Amino acid sequence: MIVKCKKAIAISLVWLNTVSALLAQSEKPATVPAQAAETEATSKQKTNTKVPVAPDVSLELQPYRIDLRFSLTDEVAIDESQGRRLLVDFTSLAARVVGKPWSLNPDWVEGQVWDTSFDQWSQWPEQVAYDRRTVFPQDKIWLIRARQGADANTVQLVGREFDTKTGNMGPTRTNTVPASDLSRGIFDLCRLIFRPLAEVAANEGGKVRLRLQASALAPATPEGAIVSPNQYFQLVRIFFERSGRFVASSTEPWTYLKAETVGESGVLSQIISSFRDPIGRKYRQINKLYALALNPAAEPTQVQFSQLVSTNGSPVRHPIAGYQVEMHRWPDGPVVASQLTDRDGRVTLEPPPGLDFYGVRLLGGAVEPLLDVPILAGDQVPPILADTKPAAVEFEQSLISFRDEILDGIAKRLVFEARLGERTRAEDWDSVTQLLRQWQNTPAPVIYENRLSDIKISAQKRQITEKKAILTQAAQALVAELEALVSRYDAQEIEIFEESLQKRSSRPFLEDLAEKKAEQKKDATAKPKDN
Amino acid sequence: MRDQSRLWRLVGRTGLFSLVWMMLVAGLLRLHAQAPSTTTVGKDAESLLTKAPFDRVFLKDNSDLLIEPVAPRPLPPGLKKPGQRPIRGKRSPEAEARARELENNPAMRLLVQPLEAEGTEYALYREDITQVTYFEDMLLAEANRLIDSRDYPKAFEYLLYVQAREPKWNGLAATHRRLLLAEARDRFAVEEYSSGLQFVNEVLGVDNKDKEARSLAVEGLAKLAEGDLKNQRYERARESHAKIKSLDAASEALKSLEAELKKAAGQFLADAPKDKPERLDFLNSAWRAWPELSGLAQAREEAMATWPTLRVAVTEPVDKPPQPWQAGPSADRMMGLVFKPLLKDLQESSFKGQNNDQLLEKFEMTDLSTAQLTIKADLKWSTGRSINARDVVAAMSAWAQPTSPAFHGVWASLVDSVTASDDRKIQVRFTRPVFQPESWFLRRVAPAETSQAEELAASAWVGSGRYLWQPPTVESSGVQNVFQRRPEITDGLFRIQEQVIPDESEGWQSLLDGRVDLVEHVPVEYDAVKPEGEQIVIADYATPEIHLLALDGRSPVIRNRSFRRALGYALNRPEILEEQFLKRPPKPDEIIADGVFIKGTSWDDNTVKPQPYDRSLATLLFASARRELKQPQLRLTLDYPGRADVARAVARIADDLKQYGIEVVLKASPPDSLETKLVQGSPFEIAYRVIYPTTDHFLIGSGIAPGLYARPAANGLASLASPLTRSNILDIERAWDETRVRQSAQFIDRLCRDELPVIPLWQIPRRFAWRSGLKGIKPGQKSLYENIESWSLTSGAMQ
Repeated sequence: MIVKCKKAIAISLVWLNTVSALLAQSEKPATVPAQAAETEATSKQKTNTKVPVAPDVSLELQPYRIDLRFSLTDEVAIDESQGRRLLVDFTSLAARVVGKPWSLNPDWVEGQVWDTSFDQWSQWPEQVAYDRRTVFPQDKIWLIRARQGADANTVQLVGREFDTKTGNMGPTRTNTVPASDLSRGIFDLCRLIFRPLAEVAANEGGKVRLRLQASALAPATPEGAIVSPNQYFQLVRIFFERSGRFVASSTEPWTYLKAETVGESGVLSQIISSFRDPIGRKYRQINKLYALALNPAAEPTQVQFSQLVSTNGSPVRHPIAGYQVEMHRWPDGPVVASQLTDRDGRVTLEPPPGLDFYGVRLLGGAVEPLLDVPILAGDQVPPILADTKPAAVEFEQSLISFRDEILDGIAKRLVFEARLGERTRAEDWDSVTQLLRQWQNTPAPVIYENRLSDIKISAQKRQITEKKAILTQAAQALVAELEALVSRYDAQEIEIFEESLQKRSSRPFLEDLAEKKAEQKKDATAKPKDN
Repeated sequence: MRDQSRLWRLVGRTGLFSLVWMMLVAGLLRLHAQAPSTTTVGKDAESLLTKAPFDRVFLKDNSDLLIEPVAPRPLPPGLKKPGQRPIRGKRSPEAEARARELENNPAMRLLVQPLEAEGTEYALYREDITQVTYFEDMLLAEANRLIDSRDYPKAFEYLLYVQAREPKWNGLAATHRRLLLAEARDRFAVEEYSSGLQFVNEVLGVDNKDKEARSLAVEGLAKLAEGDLKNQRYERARESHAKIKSLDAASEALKSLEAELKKAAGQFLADAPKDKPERLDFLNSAWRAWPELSGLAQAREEAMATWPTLRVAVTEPVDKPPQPWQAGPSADRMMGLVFKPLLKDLQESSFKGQNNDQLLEKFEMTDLSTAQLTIKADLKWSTGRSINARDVVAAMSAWAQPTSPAFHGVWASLVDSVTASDDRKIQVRFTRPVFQPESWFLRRVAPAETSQAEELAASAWVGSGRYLWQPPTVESSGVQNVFQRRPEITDGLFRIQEQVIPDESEGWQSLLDGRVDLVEHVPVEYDAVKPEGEQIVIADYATPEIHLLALDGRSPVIRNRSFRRALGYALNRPEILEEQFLKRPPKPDEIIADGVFIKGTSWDDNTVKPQPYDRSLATLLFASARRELKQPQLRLTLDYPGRADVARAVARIADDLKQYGIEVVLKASPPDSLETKLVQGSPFEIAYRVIYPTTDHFLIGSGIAPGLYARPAANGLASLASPLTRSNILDIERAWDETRVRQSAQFIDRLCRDELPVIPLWQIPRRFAWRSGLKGIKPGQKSLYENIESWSLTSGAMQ
């Protein structure tokens, strides 16, 4: 059922991909904060002034050239000289623990572009438009901002990474540290935000081999290793023009890699995805697939669901409001928590304790899974476009109501049967007559059979005419359940009571009862033997 | 019978009667040795109520025995020569027949069945019996003993027992009278005169000329009136005066009471200020004390003409300063008095500002998602400050602020910006094209400085309406809500005095008595009765009320579908409506509800029928719910508004559910505070609600889940137990045309039946009533004080 559901949502997600790629093509990102836009020119100038150096060594031997841009809010009492000293301490610590893989260039950037609340950014404020052969002076830009902590003795560090090769912003991470140990705090935060980059080298029988940058450079300490087994990666696809000019990059939705082995031949990783073959997807544009490491975090993930609703003939995005979102063990484990989307279709998911990974299932009505995707704890996900399948959900609701009706019918008949048994045993024939009449007044099974058949036919017709999925897998399961219930309803019989009444003797009933008991006993004894 | 005749044949033939008699007596004595003692009173008497009835016979030899009750009761008196035994020797057949006939007469011979004699009957000559003590006499004796020891309830039980056995038993009426008078005296001794007088009235109801009772009644009434005078309850003191007069017109108590009443009335008249509205209060008090006082009627009529005051019976005090976001019956009633809405209605004339009772001079939609509002130039708050665009912007911002008590979930998701271009012009931009956006501007606004105030001091309260709210005062007649006309307004009613009478029956009585001119809600048990005379008018409000059980989906038990379905089947709504709620057969417009929309409106799906009552299914479904929830015991709290009719209904609902093993804890709350709590998203389990359905599609879910539009922190969306109903309600908020709204509403109506996010109970008309002296009020009003500016009081209204 889940596999089919995934298929159904694939169309929506393709649409989402296309939309996000198109959005990224626009000259200037729509989400650029005002202050960032003002300083854009300055930053751009700064980027372009650096002379690119083409690497002539393999990726595994290239260290990560990292710009660390550190700033702080007014409440944090550190002047520039102290700040610079702090960065020297941090660099020294990084060299002692990580060593060669990191080539750090820390910078004190008070008052510059990242002075805005960069944790609100969804894209890099500087324009990303470069040739693929151009090599930037840095591979990563780390933005770290120090804020006042809960008290005067603590500082809250907020950071995120920008990867220049993929043009991709990493998730925001925070770390609250004592003010006296700020350099170590910065180092720990850098470990959190650092996302090693790898090229997708091959797809080997459902497993992906990655070429990891700087993997051939030995770390200073074992703790400084860039990647270790069980490391998660996100796939980022970069699109180019034929000329080689960068067009856009997009994260492969609902797809993660999990490192199984890390060795000289690269990183062999397992695919975790809603899709069958996320690696081999075909695009018209020239593209290249990269993997960016991602660490699970205890940060909540905000997800926004929306749907396309046709208003006056044109599709308009509507939030999917008031729907149930279930968090469960991926891929089909038990539900660990459930929440509702708000009026804007948003839901904030706190990672379930002990789970790096969890599935997020959007439910339509009570049973219809509209979407089921994996999310790494602490990941930041783009808005999700989904199909709410209103016709299918409405159809399922009518089936559920019908199920209630049949269940009530069965229960009523069972009650009558029990009473008939009692009254027949007591040879109270007046009551037996009355109860038999009441039984005969219950709906005949054929009524339910015909109704169910009508419901199915009308759903099939509607599915064809409206070209909408109505008889979904969940709906079909419900129909099958209803068919079983109708036959269960049909199986209830009262002939034995009628015979007893006719003969004015409880003997036929008692004999039948004894026979049934004997059969049950026989079955019960036979079962252990079979086993 | 055969054994009995054989015994008598034996006695007759052998003539060994004496011998038999001796044996019989010996046997009976043996039995008697095991029987209770003759004085079966005191601690043993406790068991008389639970024991099988018996009588006691005392014999010549000073012994006694307990026997099955004799018949007939009491026995006929004995013959002139009781116990004359048959003549021994040979008798003629005629003599024999006469003797037999004589012997069968119970006046001569008695068949008795001693207790513990295993059903054997014995015969006793009446001459050997000195006395028969009947069971009823024993009960009365015990009742008398209990009266002496002041255990009146127990004594009453004994009397009831006697009445059930022999209603005309000699001594029963006298003992009952003794009990009533004794209990009345005791009540008087502890100053419970009203209840004491009820006992005396019961005696007088049997015999109006009972001197002792009359004297006791006069004594009680005089004492009661004394207390009433002290507490300024003059109406009741006057009632006591009238009653004493009917009992003993010459009594000293009557004269004294009359003098006191006149003195009080005179004092009020003398103390009444000349040119202040309080003069009317003083004159009304004097009127309540002694209306016949010379010059009072004219003075009161003049004061009423100068300061016309409407007296209204309501059930709840308005003890918090009114704020536009408050919910509940009293908020619905009085909010229009103290705050003007932006638009009074959805008519074109209101959009053009032709309606005086609104804040806007102009309302227009400049495009599908932009509204332009212009405030009237000359409007002022009660403090004298002009009402300006800043106030409206602040109020509308408060509607979207998650921290504000005025927050509304739909508005928050709908509005993009509210900006004031100058002091009078406001632009509201919506995030999307909105269907019927004007309905948002029927709301009222508070001044900017208090628009987000959760709690407000009475002194800080500011209004914009025709009347000013004043903190409730505690008067002799109870709590009063007072709304006084703003000084700059000169026409219409001067004051509205809401008399808080929590008991609706008493409120109704106060209208009949003329103590109030208008009653907010006619109790259901009275509204079918046409009051005598033409002075009272009963009318329906524009919309009926729907009573329902709201269910909170945040509770795991309520989320369980089987439980909700069981609840739907478990309640015998027609019976509860008739027997508990209405206490009379329902009228055609008092129907069982099938959903939360008014029957017959465009939102109602007429194919939906009310959920039937099915005890067996409910039992099975409750059992299923217990299994699914893994809770053998289910215990839930049912919050309900403290109304007498609702209290009766919920008590029955709790009793019914108890039979299914569901323990329901009843929790009464004042209607206003309960509704405000629910609307603000506070968690509950089951709540009895009385809703007045709206036609505003933005509020379509308010009847199903009260907390649906509450602040996000309250998680009000989850309070709706059915996911599909919830998503459909939220879809309606984005609907763009009426057809879609209607279709979705009807689908939601069907969902309410199938998914049971709420248990509808019944739909009944809401009725209010007024004395005919109140002019301008009309049947079919949307709220109690609708169009109050055109109301007036004629002298006929004054009683």
